[in-house]
Amino acid sequence: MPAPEETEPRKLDWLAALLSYLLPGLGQVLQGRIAKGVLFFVSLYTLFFYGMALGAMKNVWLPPKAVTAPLPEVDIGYRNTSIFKAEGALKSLAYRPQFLGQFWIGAAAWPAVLQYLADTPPDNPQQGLPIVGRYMATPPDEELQRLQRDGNKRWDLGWVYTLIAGVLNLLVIYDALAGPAVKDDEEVEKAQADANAKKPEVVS
Amino acid sequence: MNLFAVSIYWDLPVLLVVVSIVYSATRHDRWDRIFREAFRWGTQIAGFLALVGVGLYLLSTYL
Repeated sequence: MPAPEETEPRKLDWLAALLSYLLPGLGQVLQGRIAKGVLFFVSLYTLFFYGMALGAMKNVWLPPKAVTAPLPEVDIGYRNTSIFKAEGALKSLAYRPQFLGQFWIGAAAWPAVLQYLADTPPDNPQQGLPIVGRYMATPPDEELQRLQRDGNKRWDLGWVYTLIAGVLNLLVIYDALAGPAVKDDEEVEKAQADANAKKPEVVS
Repeated sequence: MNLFAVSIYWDLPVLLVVVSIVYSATRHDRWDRIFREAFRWGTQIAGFLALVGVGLYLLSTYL
């Protein structure tokens, strides 16, 4: 049996990768791997929204400038020398690094980005965006403290689930981009047969 | 120990099943291999968690 490295590398499918970022599995559906696409979609959305439900739908957000402006600067440096100062979205991510993983679930996490861009404040329950309202807006401190105190650890477990769903979608995006990590025997044999067919016949 | 008490451990099977099956499906395209590898990963993760759980239980009970 030929070794997998003897076959040509697969062509990268950037459109499918983008679609799988938007909706988990959509890229695989485009490629004709419909059942696998549906499996990814159902599995990852189940995990993501199960995690959100564990946290009373209040564990996915990116703090806007209204929240981070009064907070101390995030300054990465060595001893007294500043190397990098996080500002804007980077400062928000420094204060809510969980969102770096949650973001990769795709469109399901976009309301948090919209709330960040709209600078929705946490302290005004009446203020929200059209359509999404205050969904994925930064919750007020008192509410967060209540959820953590009374949630029997479920609020924290919830954001872990949403983060894992987002990170797992990175694997799904890679599967759409370059195919499964392990080439199946049939694919290796077909590639080998194609390569042999291309070889010119040796005339003795 | 009341196993049927409301506990966060009852939320773990969802995570275990999804992680096993999604990871395996990104490694293979053939369903028999996906399910075989998912089962292998699922049992290994469950075994590891059970081992940690038993270890912690013994530590908290007898230490």
